Amino acid sequence: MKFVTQDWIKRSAIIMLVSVFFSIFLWSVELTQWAGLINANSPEPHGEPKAIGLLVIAISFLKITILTLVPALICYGITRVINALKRYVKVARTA
Amino acid sequence: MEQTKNDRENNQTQRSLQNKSWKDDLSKTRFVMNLWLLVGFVLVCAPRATGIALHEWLSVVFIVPLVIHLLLHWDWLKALPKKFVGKLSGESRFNAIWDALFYLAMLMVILSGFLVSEVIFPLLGIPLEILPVWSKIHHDLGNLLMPMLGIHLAMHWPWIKSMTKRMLTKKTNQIADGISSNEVVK
Repeated sequence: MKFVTQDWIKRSAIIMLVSVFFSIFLWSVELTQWAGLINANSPEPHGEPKAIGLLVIAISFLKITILTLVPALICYGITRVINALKRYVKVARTA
Repeated sequence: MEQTKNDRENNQTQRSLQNKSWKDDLSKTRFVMNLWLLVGFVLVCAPRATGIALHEWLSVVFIVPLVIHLLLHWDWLKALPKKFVGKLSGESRFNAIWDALFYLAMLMVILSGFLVSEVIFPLLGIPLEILPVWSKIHHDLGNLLMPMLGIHLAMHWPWIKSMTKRMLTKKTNQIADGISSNEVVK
């Protein structure tokens, strides 16, 4: 854990301070017209806690898996295509 | 005969280097901590599975591995502004911008999560008027974090792959060492 504890108080304080600074900035979203419009048009502020069932649990984790893996695979594919193109251009230039 | 002895010694040195505890190796520490972060992320992203109360408490705990993740990449964070202005490959530049956006989105989800808290704040006796806008931001951005994480992982896939191999090789070597030491005892 020496890598985590190395100067960790100072570093964590900096991370927290930067995060608080950005949070205050992000909080100002509440003052925008867009926020006012949403607040005025939504009757229910926050959804009630849903009952926990096996199917709900399975669907929740399936949703996370799909929403994470599909973009990951697309991004990985794009990076591979870009790298292949780069290699192709490099070979074509040297030839 | 002499060469075989040297080979054996070299193999043992290599194995002992590979068998170093994960705590003594920065990459391995990052790998283990990232694994915890991923497990935490998955649990936090499933409020319907965990229930709202556990979701809120887990989210508070999740801040710890998140800060550790940033601490373990401190040198990269520190060097980034200079590197970003100077020379940086297109992929690394995209990576840096993506990481910054990911951080801001996560910050917004955490902030909005606190502002729509149904368990922690009332428990602490802090009166809170939940505004629909924060509820919408928390829900929508929370869902956006998953594809953002997917892209973040894909961008670091070569590192994840090589580290997984290294961690698995270590285990195989430990098993092999266990067998050979047993043979010596016999």
